[in-house]
Amino acid sequence: MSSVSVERALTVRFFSTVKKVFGVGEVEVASGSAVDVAELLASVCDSQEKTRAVFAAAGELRGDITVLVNGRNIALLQGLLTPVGAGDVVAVVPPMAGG
Amino acid sequence: MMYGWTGNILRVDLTTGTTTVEPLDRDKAKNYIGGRGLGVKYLYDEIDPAVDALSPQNKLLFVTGPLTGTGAPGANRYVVVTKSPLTGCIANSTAAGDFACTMKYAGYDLIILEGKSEKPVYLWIDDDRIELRDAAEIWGLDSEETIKAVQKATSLRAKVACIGPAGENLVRFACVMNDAGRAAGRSGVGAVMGSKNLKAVAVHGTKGVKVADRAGFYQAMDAAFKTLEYEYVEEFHQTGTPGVLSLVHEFGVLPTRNFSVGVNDFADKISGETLADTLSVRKRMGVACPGCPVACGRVTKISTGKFAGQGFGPEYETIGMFGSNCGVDDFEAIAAANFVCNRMGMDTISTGNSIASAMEMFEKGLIPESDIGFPLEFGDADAIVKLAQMTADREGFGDVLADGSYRMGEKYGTTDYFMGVKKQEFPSYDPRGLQGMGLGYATGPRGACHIRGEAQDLDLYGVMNWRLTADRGLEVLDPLRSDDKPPLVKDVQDWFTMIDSCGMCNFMFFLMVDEDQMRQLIETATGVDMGGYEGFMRTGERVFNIETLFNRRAGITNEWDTLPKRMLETPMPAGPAKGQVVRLAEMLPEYYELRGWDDNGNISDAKREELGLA
Repeated sequence: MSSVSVERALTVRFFSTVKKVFGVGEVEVASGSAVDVAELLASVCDSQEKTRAVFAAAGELRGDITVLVNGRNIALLQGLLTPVGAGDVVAVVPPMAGG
Repeated sequence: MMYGWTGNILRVDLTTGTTTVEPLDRDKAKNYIGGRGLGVKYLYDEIDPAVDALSPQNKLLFVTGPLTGTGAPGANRYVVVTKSPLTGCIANSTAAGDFACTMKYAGYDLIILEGKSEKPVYLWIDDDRIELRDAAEIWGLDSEETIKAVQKATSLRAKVACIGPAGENLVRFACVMNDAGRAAGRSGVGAVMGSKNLKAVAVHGTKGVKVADRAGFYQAMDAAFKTLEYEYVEEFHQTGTPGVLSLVHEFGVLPTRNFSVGVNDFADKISGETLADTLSVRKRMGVACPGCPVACGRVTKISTGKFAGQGFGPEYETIGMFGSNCGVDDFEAIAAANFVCNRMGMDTISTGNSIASAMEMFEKGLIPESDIGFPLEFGDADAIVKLAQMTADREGFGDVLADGSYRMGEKYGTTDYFMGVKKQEFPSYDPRGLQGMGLGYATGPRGACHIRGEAQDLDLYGVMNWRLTADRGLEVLDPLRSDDKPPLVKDVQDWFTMIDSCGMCNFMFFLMVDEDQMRQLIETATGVDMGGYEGFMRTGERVFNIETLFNRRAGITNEWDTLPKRMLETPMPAGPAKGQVVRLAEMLPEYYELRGWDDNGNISDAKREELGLA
């Protein structure tokens, strides 16, 4: 996936163990390439290992993965059908804790 | 014969130099378990909560739990319980490491330290042999030097809890340090120890801990370990608690420039991944306390330059307070400030938060440069290290910081820039984007705190693997919603009260153990029937309520169950939580009602009777 101009891009950020699988902290995706979170995540999961890190089955997130769009949990929005567009930041987060 | 508990209390009168061993009260043990709960019960029964926290009339209790030292996962904690010189409230600061298990193996559930020694002393406990020794030669040493010196004088196998110069200088947020880098960190328990002229407690123990139902206990332990989420544990090995910083920033609640905003453009520079890639000494495995599969501890090293040094940490909270909240993106300076706090024995949260408050007050012209000695602006990396040392030494402006940022605000005419609750500074979560956290902060008996009811975990992650969410059928929570939070916050506070009382680490309950598993561990260890889930939670509720009774008797009314004006009235200016304030006024009445308290936050007679509180 190639880098695209910021104006037309949306950003996918990977955290913690998911970041290790993807090998990078974030990627930029052309905004027109995905209309919702499901399409977006499918487009960045370009290997079986990456797919297993995010999805339990086709169209179903792993139970321990939280996805945020602009800091809001998609479970509080429209789930995987939450629309995404230019400038949005999507975060893929496994469980973590501070202290 | 008691199981789980040793059944012994060591009482040390520092005024007379006498020590006695007395039996643990079985009813108190059953009803208050250990650690935080047992500690507050004994303190509540033995002192007038209205006493001056730094007077000989206050007592200092070291309290283990019935699971401490049993081999249960993460069961390596003790709690230091006293009246806080920072807040005037109950103080209960927990620490992990080797000290707690060794205290238990020496044969003591509690050490009650009372009075005040005429001269500096340290306490040496070698199983049944107990001595108070002269500490003149180690008074003034930092915590790392103290531990080494005491071990040299006693036994290299001794485990040592001590104060550093901050405790000696009565810094109101001084810690008790143990095992080099582990801290009973908050609320100034180290200052109380300093006020008693007690430099250290060294223990060596050879006794074990007996459990009531060995087969049942092993079965409960096995079940707990089997639910461990190994994938996440691996992450803890590598980034420890700093790993969460990026996520907190993603939610827009990473305190930045004295809680002015929850996002910034330098979070990547101070993330857990950055720490692991740069200053961390052990890249793949953290440092573990006894019996802990998580190994969240960090060791960092700065090889060259003005901040050169090595030590434990920094933890996430430290990075948040010295880093983003002070506007500092220099990881070496953050680590160096952390080293100073650990060596001096000082709470990194209150230190960093107070410096951030001073930075804002300086920039607004409320604190003159002549008082500080130099211009103190956000982003000044050198200043955080320098001021941490000055605070520990009560040197110059450090003498002002050493009393905490609430009192600093009073000195300079406004407490509007104090970011905390009950005179204790906030840790690294801006509650405007975490409504449950806002209620938890406001109502916590020891003041602002993130680990006395981890409401931020519910807010950040939606739900945990706990019954208090599963029984409600909850699959996700909205951190910006307030109407559903009062019952959840009440329950999570009671649940974490039990965690702090049993002797286990919070992280066990984040990664694996739920309420029933913990209850089974306690029941099989002690032989006490807790009355199922309801009885278990009622015990937590009892402890939480007696802490509130302690505060009320200390003169702390519910007027202190509030938040800074900035959190209540100034909308978050940017980020995912933009436009939010904490809607505390909407949540507090329902919370009081659920607790069985009246409108003034006083515990009703019916609730006191229900919980067996006289």
